[in-house]
Amino acid sequence: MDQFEHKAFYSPAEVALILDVSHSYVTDSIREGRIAAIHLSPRVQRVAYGTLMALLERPLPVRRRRMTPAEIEAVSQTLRDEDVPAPVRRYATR
Amino acid sequence: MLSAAALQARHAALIGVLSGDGELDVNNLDLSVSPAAVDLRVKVPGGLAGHQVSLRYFEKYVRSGTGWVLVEYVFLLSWQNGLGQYEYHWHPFRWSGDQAIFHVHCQPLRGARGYYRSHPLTLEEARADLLRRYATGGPVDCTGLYALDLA
Repeated sequence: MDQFEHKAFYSPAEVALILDVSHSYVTDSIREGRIAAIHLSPRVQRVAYGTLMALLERPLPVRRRRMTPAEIEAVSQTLRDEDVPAPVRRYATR
Repeated sequence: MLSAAALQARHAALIGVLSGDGELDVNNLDLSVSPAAVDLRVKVPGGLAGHQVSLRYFEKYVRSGTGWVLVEYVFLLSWQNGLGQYEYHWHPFRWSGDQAIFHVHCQPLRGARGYYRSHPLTLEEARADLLRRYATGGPVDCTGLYALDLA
């Protein structure tokens, strides 16, 4: 049983606590690109769940499937049939 | 336009990047037939707050000469607990003929789904935007968007 909350993003401080390393090690690793992070602002970074699990050497599973061309076209048709209003022309055309 | 090798390489790189975001469900890219689709779905845990979200990145490619051309996409973020949905779309409609239209579907908390004008963006740009929207906290905010049918 994990002793940490499973959620989408973790602050560098939370990552440091979970990995049992220093906060500066995490922030340095983010800055040097050794830990991938999402930059919410120049000073606020978050580490995603999958990245943390990979750091814990427990990478998340990747499921694989195969879409046939017919299935791809069915997605296209569903999108085409969406009941989305047509843009109104701003200027009259001849 | 991308060569088959470039599209395969891009697909593999996207799997590497998106597997860092959550549990990944991948459509195996099959370039022996046209159309082909990059279809990557990510499930992200919501923590104690229960804010689970799912993300989907769908790109449709058709063969053109020796390469592959992107002709449609859908990139979406959906809260599983009703906090809203935000989607970037580029595809034709019945009323647009073969012309693909850039637009956004936005559904805020307790609000109706609206359709808004949008602009071209890459899967990587959409990922950064959608993750930022989620990380900054829900619910979905649709303010500042221009309605698709606005005169």
